[in-house]
Amino acid sequence: MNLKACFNFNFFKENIRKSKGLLAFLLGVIPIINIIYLIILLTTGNSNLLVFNELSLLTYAGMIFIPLSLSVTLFGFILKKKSVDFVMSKPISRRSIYMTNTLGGILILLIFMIINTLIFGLFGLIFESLTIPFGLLVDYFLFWFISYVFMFTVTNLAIILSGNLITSIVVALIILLIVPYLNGINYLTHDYYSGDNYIVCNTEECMPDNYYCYNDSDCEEHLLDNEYNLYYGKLMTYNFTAPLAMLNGAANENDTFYNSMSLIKMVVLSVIYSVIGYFAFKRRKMENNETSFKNSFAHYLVKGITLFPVCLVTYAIIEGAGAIGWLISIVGIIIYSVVYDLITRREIYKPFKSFIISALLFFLFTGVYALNFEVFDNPEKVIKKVDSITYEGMKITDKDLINSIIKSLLDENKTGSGYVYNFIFTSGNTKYEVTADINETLNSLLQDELNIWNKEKIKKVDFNRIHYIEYNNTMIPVTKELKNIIKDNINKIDEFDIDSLSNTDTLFLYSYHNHHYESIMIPIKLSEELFNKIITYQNELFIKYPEKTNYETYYDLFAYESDLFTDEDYYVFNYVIRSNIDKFINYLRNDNKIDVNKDLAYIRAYDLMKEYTITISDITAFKEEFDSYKENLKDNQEFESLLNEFREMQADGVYSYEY
Amino acid sequence: MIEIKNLSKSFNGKDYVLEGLNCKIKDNAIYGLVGANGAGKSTLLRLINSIYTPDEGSILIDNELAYDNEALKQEMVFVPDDLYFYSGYTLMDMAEYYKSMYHNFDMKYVVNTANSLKLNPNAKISSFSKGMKRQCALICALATNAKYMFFDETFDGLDPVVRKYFKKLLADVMSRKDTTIIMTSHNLRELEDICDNLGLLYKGNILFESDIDTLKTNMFKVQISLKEDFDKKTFKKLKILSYKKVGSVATLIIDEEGKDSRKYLESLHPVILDYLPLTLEEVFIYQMEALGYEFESVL
Repeated sequence: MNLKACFNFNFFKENIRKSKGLLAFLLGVIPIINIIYLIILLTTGNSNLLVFNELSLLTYAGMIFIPLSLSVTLFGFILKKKSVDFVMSKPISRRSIYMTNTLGGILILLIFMIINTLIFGLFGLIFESLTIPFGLLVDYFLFWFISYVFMFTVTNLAIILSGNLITSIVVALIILLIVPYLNGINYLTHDYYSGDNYIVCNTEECMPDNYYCYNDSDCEEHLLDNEYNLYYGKLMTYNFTAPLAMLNGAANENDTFYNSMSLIKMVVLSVIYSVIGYFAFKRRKMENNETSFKNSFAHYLVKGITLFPVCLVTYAIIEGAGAIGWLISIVGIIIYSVVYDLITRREIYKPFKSFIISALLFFLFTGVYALNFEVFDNPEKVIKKVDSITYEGMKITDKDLINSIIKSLLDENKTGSGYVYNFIFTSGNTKYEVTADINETLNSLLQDELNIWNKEKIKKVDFNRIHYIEYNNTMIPVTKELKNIIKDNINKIDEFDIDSLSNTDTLFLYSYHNHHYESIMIPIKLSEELFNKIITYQNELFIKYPEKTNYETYYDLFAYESDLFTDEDYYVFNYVIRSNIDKFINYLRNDNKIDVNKDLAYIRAYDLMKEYTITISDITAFKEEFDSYKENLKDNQEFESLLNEFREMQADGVYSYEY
Repeated sequence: MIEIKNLSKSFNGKDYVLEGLNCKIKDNAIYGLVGANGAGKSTLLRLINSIYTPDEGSILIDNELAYDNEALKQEMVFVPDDLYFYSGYTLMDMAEYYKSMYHNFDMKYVVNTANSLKLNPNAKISSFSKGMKRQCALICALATNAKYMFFDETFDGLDPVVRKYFKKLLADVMSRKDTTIIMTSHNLRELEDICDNLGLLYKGNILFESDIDTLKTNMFKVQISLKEDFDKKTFKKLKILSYKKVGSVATLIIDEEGKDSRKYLESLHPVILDYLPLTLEEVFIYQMEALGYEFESVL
């Protein structure tokens, strides 16, 4: 097919011209709101590591109305007799109209997506506090461009197949949702609620020490085959197309809408729908407009399909209300049938025939649901072989460890350790989720494995991919110098127990990899130089702030490990620091005697807009400094009344500052 | 030349609007398509212009299949009965649109004609009256310089002066170029003035085709009275389309079919014999009556 001959530039140009207002709105509204959103993020003053879902929020919201509006703009003429006469009589073939409108629409969506991506890219480049990795921009562009094109091909096809806009929307929804709906029904029936699930264990290593059947014959029968009852649910494979991307995100442990399988599906479906659309448009009977379908079979078919989910509701009513439920349901179906006809055809189309068909379908679909939920429900499931277990992101393939975990999970006598974890069992291509309380021994074993796994992960980290460093809620600029310090000291990681690091001991390094952020934890005390750099940067960031802000700043002290500070100190801390702010800032400028072996104190400083954490490296010296501030306030009436207030509270036993 | 072969179209798969229609329309002529409401005139024009897809049959224009033929459509322009303009467009905007679609579009023609008709080409068409909108559509269509022009209810909504002006424009187009115009109208008097040929569409087929002059010279209204008593059988040698007798005077509508009726009637030595010309509307009505279309029952 000669593309150049098929694309009528003049026709495309005129289509753009006639709809320039709408197109300007379509192309403008989301980028403008995106800009406003980014500005709001910037004005909060906090640093932001933007994730895929955050970037995608508005683009996702526009995914239905933008492609639909574009389809209506380009193909909507076939829904009106007058415009059909006008356009179809012009010297342009059906093939050219279809190709021009489809390719033109895709071009508009491409421009739209480039604009959005450029906005994010430019904001990321200009504003240091917004971190948007290039990989994320590529993912954003690719995912949403393909999603929008997919939606555009669906809405085009729906318009071409139907005779009015309402019916087009119904057809589009059917095309988009029928497979996920059936998938969901199947999942809810056969997988999610299945109670009798068994796991096969043939070796001594995985057999539980304590497992009882309590004279349950079914259980005993299963035990003969070495099958042990275990409560688990099958994990649904979430790789739906764009409109249900939110489900993909919810099911994904990385919580991102991005899904490579969805992308492939959408590309393939876009091609299929475009080809079907092409032939449908070539063969379309242009007299089919201003009503749902000229062909009554098509009308009943589409209406019948929409009845399927409606019958799930009526099935639930029947289940809940019995005989009266049947009556309510039949009345409901008749009302639905009338309303559907009125909306899509502006008439009650052949009422008697229509009611008969709707009623027959209602009984058929109710039967299907009954069969599905009553007969096919609760089939026994057996995991014959566990290939791997994923725990906290760590994939366990070691047979002995897998057996230990299975043994522990089956142990009916285990004393709850309080450690409840999710395990993902992989058997072939199927994944199962087991949520269980594990015993102390297994917990220690897993933690050790996790520690080793984390350290290996840290050692293998690609420092070129690090986009964001965070310490104590503060973004630390990713500099070559900083990366080199970490790199040079990375082997010291073996000296640390990573999993017991507290938030204040940890530096988080984020890299955008495989369509999501991966974070690794580095002990801030990995090297004295690293520690010094981070603390100095963090404190310097704050030192300039009191002069800049117009808001009142408040101060809270956190000195977990030290008993130098009394309850009274904590109570008056904010007042004392605010009254001696210049001295305090001056003290911070000289507080640089970093000792990695000493305990630290933290001060949280915050106002309406921003929050800072200040690290005090020498608590003893700071305590002396703080006492001198208090001394300065000795004759201050306000301070005195604050102290009295505290003493009264303490006498009443109300105040005790505890961490 | 437009050649229609065995053309059929049904909207519901059962009732055919056009059924096995065969027809030839000569070049460089104005062809008037008449027929009762629902006869399929507009459907035929939409089929020729590839708006609708025929169920059966074909349409050849200059010996080429017309359906979805982009090159051929450059030489075709269609003005439907129900007009459509893009929202917010002016006549100049519409002309620009036509210009982008038709290679031979004459922008000067639009400006000059709009000026002659005192139409503001830069005013929004949506603010125009029904007649002014039709003027816009006709101007754009004529400016395409297409070889085949199709007008459905051509002069609907135009005032007599503008109507006359457009008839002149159509005649000019015909005289300037080898143009074929096919038009439908409910007002047969309109077609009478301008058409060279006429086709009567009835029950999905062309009932008869003829050039207007032949039609008018072949059919006559005759008032006759004889000395002796007489009835319809007296004139059995003639093709009588209609016969009415009041008192001793009978009014006959005669289709000559090449015969000389006057000679025959004079041979009967009539007391009164008057030949009156028929209007096209009367020709249409009598032909339809002759085919059993009962106007009286309708009226």
